[in-house]
Amino acid sequence: MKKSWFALLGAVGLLGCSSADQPQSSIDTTLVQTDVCCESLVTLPWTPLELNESLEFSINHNSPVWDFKTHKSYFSAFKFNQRAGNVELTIRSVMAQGEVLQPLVALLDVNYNVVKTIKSSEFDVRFSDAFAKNRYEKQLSLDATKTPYFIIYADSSRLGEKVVVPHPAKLRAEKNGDPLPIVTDPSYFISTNGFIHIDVESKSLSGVNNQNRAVVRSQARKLSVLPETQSYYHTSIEKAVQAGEIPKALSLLDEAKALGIEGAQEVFVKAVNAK
Amino acid sequence: MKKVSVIAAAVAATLAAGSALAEDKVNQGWQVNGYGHLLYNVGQSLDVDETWHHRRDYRAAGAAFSGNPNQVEFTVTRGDNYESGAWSKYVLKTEYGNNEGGNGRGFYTSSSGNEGHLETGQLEFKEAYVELGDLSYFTDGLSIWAGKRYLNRQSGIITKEFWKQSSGVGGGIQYNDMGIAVVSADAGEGSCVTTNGAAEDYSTSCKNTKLDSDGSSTTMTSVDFYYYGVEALGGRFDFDAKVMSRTNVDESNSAKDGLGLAITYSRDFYGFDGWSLTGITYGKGIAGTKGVNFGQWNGDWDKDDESIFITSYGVANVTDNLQLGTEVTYWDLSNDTKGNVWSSEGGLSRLFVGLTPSYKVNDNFRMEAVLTYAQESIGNASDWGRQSADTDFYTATLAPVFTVNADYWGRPQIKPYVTYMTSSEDSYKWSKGASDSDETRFGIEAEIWF
Repeated sequence: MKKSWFALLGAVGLLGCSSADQPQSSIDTTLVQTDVCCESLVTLPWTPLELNESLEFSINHNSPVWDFKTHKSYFSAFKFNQRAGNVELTIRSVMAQGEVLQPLVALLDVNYNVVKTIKSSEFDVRFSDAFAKNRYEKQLSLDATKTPYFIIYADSSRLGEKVVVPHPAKLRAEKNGDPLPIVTDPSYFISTNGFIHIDVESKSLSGVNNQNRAVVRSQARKLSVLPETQSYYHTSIEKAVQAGEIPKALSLLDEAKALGIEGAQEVFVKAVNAK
Repeated sequence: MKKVSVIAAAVAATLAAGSALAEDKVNQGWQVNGYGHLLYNVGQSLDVDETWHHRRDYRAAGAAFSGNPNQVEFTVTRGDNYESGAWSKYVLKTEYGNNEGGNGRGFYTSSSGNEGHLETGQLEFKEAYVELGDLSYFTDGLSIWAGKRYLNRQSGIITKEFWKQSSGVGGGIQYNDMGIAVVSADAGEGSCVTTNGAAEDYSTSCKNTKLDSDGSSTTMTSVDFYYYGVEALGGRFDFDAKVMSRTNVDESNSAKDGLGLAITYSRDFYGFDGWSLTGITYGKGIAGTKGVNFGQWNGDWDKDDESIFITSYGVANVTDNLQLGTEVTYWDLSNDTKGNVWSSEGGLSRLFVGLTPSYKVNDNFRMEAVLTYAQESIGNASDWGRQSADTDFYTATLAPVFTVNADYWGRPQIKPYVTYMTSSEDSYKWSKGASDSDETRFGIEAEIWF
């Protein structure tokens, strides 16, 4: 109920060009120079999640890089558990060590198409208390069967800008009816690096429809295989069958199918019949 | 200059106020916040009349004038947002070590146990209430609350004395920025007031010191009407009216009714960068405590006591590193029927002026000073045994403030200080048994917020 008073106070709160050094990572030139990690979204390093899990990790120069249409960014990619149906996903980007990552979240469908991007402006700011630091936080209710994949990465539109949050003494004063004390508000630089905390809670389960998944897999993995690779597999399968190494031949056949190499099945059958 | 985005307390205020703007109306889930205040007066612990009473009576202010050597506060809050748009909030605030009142005394303890009995500063519940908002059959923006709380509090930035609140047990309805509340408080303190710490009668609870002859409570009640947030004159106006009453008292001995009115004006620092708040209040009868400061301390007024209270305080951002806090407060008490207040003929008035410059040397270090001047004017010097009807009080405090940057849990702060205090009245002693009317104290204050 003291909204407009505090908007006023916030606007004239303690700002200042800080003499503190800006952390190197907030304007990370190495990011610009780093190549993207992977050929396509399909081959991103997807971290599989449990049905219910809590993870804390950093996104920094050790993370892989991808070119999201507007900019390049370090990222972390996740896949919900196969058995998950409706999930509640909480994503927090923690303000710590003078910097914070403004998060963007891309939700992908079963075919690795980005169907929704959650902007950093949709995240709430939550202030610190006894158990948690200042952070951006968002809770999402998702259908993991429709959007089984998501990527967390950085919004770099305001890199280097400072985010100032009220000192906890000011938050206490507001709740207590005390006047705002003269204290220095903590500030954080918007950075390509950050500390992320995710919580997954599966509210319902889903069975896996094997047929659908097989179809999806073959459709998704339409790589353009080199001719040399195709002939390598065909030759290797033939040789393995001729040498009587059937398990090896079957293994090669599986690999070839996974890569979408055509004709491998026929080569195997022909070689077996020829024996 | 780098662009800065300020995530102000406005965000928290919006979320807490149940505004329809935010998707989540209250912070979802549990939250635990706390505060610690530790004060060491070098070499000697001090009684409340050597510390807090000087500040309570608007004669002095600064770190030395706190009655609490160790005070710890925990607040547990739970917020829930429901799919229908409704929200609920439970607040539980506990405090230990508040000795400012009753038989309070600063007492430096070791860890042997048995710290206190029949006295102030025990583990107490400051607030315990439930609030529900935007229920499906309410209009948007309507909330109801019930429990124990201090409603609509305001205090001065230098004196740190509350001049507006309704502190007690009750309930209320709020619609956006306006509301009605009924709050009750029993007069006096819960702690015992006897000589030398012994209770007069061990079978009688010390909470029963203000009962009537039948043993009934003489509870005071304030019905608050408030309307906040009227934008005008470059700022914001808030209006309060409190109608007070008391059961089971004889009007010839104690006030049975009271009326308090207040207008509060908030804006920037009088046209400069910063913030300021100005309040003007009127009170009569029970509302004699600064008009709109209602709580268990309102029990000693006479029915014709009248109070006029004016306060204006704020913080100016002078430069990027220098801020200046100021406070001017004036409180006049009179009683035209009785002709005196507290034996001072024609009543009395208190004027307080304070300045607190704070210079930020770097993110971890500030230099702070608190300078205060006060004048207390009574009817005749002889009414209170003074040399002159007008008495001046001066204090000056200087303190380096050691604090830490953003990542330290609790953002603790340590502040060694030196305070000099003096007055124009030879017989006014700042400490018991003092020989002079001026005194210097050294101490260390530490605070932590989380």
